[in-house]
Amino acid sequence: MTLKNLVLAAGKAKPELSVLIPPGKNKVLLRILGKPILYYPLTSIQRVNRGETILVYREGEEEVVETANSISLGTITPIKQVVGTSVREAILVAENKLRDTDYFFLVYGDIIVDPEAFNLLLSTHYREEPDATILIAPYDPEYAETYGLAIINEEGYVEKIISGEQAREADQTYIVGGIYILPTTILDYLEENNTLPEAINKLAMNGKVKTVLWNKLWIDIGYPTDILEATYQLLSELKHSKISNKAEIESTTIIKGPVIIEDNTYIDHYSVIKGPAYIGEKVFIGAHSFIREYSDAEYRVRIGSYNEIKKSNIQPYTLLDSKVTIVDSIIGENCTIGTNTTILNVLPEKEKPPRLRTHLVHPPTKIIRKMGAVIGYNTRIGASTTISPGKIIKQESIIKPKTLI
Amino acid sequence: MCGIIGVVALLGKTPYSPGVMVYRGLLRLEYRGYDSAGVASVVGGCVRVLKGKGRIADLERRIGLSSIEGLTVIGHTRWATHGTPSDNNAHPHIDCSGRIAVVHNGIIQNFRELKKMLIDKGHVFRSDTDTEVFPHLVEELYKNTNDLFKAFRKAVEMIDGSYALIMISSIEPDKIFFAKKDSPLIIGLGDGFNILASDIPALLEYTRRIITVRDGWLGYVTPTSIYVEDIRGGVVDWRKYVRVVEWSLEDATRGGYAHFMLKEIHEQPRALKDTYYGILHDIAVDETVKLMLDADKIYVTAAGTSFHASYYFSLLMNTLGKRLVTPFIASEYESYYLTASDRDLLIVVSQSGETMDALKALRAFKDRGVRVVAVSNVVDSAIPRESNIAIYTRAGPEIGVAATKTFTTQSLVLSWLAIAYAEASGSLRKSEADKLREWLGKSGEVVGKVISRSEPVAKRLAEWFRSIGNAYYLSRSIGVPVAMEGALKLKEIAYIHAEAYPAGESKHGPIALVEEEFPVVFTIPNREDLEKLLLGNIQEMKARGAVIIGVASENTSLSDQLDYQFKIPDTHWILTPITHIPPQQLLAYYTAVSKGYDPDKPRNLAKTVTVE
Repeated sequence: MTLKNLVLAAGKAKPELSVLIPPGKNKVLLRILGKPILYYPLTSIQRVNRGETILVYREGEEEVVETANSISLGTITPIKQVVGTSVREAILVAENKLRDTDYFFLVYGDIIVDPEAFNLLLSTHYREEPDATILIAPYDPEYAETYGLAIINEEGYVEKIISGEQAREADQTYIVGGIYILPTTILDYLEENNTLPEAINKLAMNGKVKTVLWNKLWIDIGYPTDILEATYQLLSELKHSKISNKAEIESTTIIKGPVIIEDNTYIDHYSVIKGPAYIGEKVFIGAHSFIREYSDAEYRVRIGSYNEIKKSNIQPYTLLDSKVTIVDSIIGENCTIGTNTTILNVLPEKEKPPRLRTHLVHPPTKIIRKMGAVIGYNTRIGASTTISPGKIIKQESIIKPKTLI
Repeated sequence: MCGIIGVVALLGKTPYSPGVMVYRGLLRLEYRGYDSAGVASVVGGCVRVLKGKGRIADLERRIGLSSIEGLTVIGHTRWATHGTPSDNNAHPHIDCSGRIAVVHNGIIQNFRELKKMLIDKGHVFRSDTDTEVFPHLVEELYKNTNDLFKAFRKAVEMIDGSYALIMISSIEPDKIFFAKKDSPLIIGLGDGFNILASDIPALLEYTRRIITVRDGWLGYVTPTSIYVEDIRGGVVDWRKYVRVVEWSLEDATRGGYAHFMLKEIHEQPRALKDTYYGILHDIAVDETVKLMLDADKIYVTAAGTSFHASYYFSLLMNTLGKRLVTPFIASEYESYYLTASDRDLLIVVSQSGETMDALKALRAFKDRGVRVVAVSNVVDSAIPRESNIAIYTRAGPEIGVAATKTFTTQSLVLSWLAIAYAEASGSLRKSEADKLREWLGKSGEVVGKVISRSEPVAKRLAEWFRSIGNAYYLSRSIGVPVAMEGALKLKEIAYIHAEAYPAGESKHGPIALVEEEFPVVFTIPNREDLEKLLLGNIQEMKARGAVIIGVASENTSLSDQLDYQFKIPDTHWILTPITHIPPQQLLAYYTAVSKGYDPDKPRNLAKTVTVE
C-alpha cells in the first residue's frame, strides 16, 4: 500500500483571526512556542509516514513553502492553489500527484494535535484496513455546529458526517478532527462536486470508514482564542525548564516553574518569570517585569520595565513599552504598545462573544469568561490606552494616546 | 476473540525455533483470550499436538508448548464463549488419520450437518467444537482429490460462518494453508520464513512487512513463497498488498483508542447486546429462578465492582421481587455463612471467576450444603466450575484493570434474573416483566448515546477534577450502588479520595466535611420518588457551597439544581446501573489522563485478585 502525505496550508483565516496575519503570510505561520503552527501537523505526519509530502499553499503566500522547507523532516512537493477556497478544491489541486498512490494521509495545516494521534490513526488503518480512517475528537456541543460532526456506529465506523443545524441537534458529539487517511477513490467523489464530508459520506455508504477517537491535545486554529488555547495546552505539557546557555539572565531575576528561554534573550534585574512560559529567541525583558503563567513571547519581542503579562501570546518583533498590562490577549506581529496601556479581560456576564476559552477552574460553580484583546499586526497603540475585554483591533491601526477602546 | 499463529521456516533462518516463535506469538495474543491453548507441528512425517486447558504460561510449564519441534508450527489461544474450555476442546484439532491439524477463529455455523455427515462416513470426533469438522472434512475430500490444496479449498467452500483458519499436514509438511472470512488474519513476510497470525502484535517481533488477508482469500505459505486465491475466483497478486508497519505493539492492540479503558468503555453497547442475546434463551437463567423460588434464604456475594452490581441486584430483588436478598462482600463471608443451610442459595458474581475472596466464600457456603449460582465473564473458570449453575456475561476480554463493561453486563444479567424471579413469584405481571426486559434489550443502544453525549462533559469536568482532593458520590435506593461504583472508579485510576454513601446519611456526619467548591456527584435514577428525595440532599449540599454534578435524565425536574449535568436519555429506572455509570467511568478516565496517569495500569492494583 502506498501512502503519500497531503498537508493543506492554503486556507483563508476567519475575519477575527485575519487581523493577526500580515500580507503574504497565512495563519499556519502564526507562531506558538517558537514554531509556526504548520510545524506541528507537518512534522507529526512526517514522523509516522515517510512517503512524499505534498503541501498545498495559496498563491502569493510563498513564505509558507519556505517555512515548510525549513522545518520539514523530508522533501516537500509544493502545489500552488490559485482558485477556490474550499477543502475540496485544495485536495483537487493536488489530484495529479495523488492519483499514483493507494491512499493519502490528509492533514490540515492549522491543526495542533499530539503526534501520538497520527500514530494511532495509521496503526488503526493498517490493522483494520477500512476504506478510510479519520480522526474524531470529543468536543463541546456548544461549538459543534462550527465543525463536521461524525455520527458513528458501535464498531466505530462512520455512519455519516453532518454539520450546521443538524450538528446542533445531534446526539453524538464527536467532531471530525482534520486528519484523515483517504483512498484515492475519494478524488472521484470530490470531482463530482461533493464537499469533503459529502465525499466521505459516499465512501461510508459504499464501504467502511473507521474512526479513531482522540482524547488528548487537539486544537483547530480557527479563532484567536484557539491560539491562546494552543499556547495554554502546549505550555501545560511543559514539565521541565529549558534555558539556553546563550540567554543572559541577571542575578536578581526569579524564575519559578517550567520555562523555555531561548538563545540570546536578555532578562533584566528583578523580573519574575512564573512558568509555564515561553520566552523566544532574542527577546528583551526589562527590569521589574512580571511574566506570568501561560505566556508566550516570540522572536525579538521587547518587553519594557514594569510590564505584566499573563496567558497571552505575543507575535514576533512586537514592542511593549513600560508599565503595560497584557492579559488573555494575542498581540500581532510588529506592534508597538505605548506605556501605561492596560488590557482588561473579564467579560460582562451577559456578553457572549464567540469562541472564548471559558475558565472552569476557579470557582467551578461560576464560570468566569475571560478574554483580553486581539491586536492586529503593525498596530501602534498610544500611551495610557485602556482596552476593554474581547476587543479586536484591526491590523495597522493607530490608536491615539489615552484612548478608551 | 481467539488468537491464532503459524510459522513455516527454513532451518536456521529464524531468530528462535518456530516452536518458540509460536509460543511468544501466543503470549502476544493472550489479550484476545486465555482459557486454553495448543500448538501443532509437522515432525518427522507426523503431526504432533500439545494442547490443554489453562493459561499459556501455565501450559508452558506443564506441557512445554515452546519445546515443540519442527519447522512448520501452528498455535492457538482460546477464549471460550460457549462450550467448556477443556483439554479436548482446545485447538489444534486433528483428523482421524492424525495427518491434518487445524486452528480456527470464528464459528462454523453448519458444523452440526457436516459433523453428522462425517460421522456417517465413519469419522471419529474427539471434541465438542465446531472447528473439528474441518480437519475431518479435508481428510474426507482428500480421499477423492488426492490434492491437499484442492481438498482444503473445497472444505472452505462447504463451511458457513466466520473463520480465520490455518492448517498444516504431514502430507505437505512445508506449507501452512489458510482461509479467511470475517475473522482477522495477517501474513508476516520473513527472510526464509513466513508467519500467519490473527493480529499484528503476534508477528511484530519478527517482521514488519505484512499483508492483511482479505475476506474470501485462501491459499498457503511456505518458508519462501506465498500463494493466494480469491474464493470468488482468480489468483491474487499478493505483492500489491505488502506494507511495512512502524508502530508499537501497544498501538496495535488498542483498536484506535488511546487506552484500553477508553476502548472498553466504548465497547459497552456491543457487550450489552451480546450479553442480552446470550441470556435470552439461556436455560441456566430458568434453572436459577427455580432455585431462587425454592430457597429459604438468598445471598449474593462478590468483591469490588462486582459487589456493586450484586448490591444493585439485592435492592432490585427487595423492591421488584419482594424478596429479601442478603448482599455481602466476599471477604466478609465468615459473618454470614454460619447461618446458611442446604435450603439456601448463594449467587457469586466475579468477572474473572477466579477471585479468591469470592471463591473462599463459595466454598464455605458449599460446605454447608448451600446451592451456588455463578455469574462470570470467563467460561468454566474456578467459580463457575465449582458452582451448581453458571450464567455468563459476554463482555469479551477486559484488559483495563478498572472494570467497566463487565459492570454493566453483570448489572444486565442480574437485573434480568430479578425480573424473571419477580415474574415467576407473582410479584410482577408478565406484561410488566416483558416491558422491563424490552428496556434491557435497548440498553446497548441507550448506552451508546450516553457515552457519546457524556464524553465532552467528562473531558471538560476533568480539568477541574484533576485539582480536587476529595469528592462525595451520593444517591438513594437503587442509585447507591451506582454511586459506589462511580466513586470506586475515581479512586482506582485518578487516585482521588471519593466516598459514596446513601444521600440521606449526610446529616448524620459526612456533611461536616462539605465546604465551598466541594464536588458532589449525584446519581439520580429516573424515578419521581427518588428525585423528590434527592432534591433535599442536593439543596443541603448546595447551601454549604458544594458543586453539584448530576447524572440524571435529560428531562429531570432537578436540572436547575445541578451545576453540571450528564444528560441520560429518558429511559426506565431499571437501567440505572447501566445508563448512569458510563459518565462516571468517563469522568474518572479523563481525570486520570488529565493528571498524567496511565488508566490502564493503576498503581497497586491487579486485574484478577487471586490471593487473599
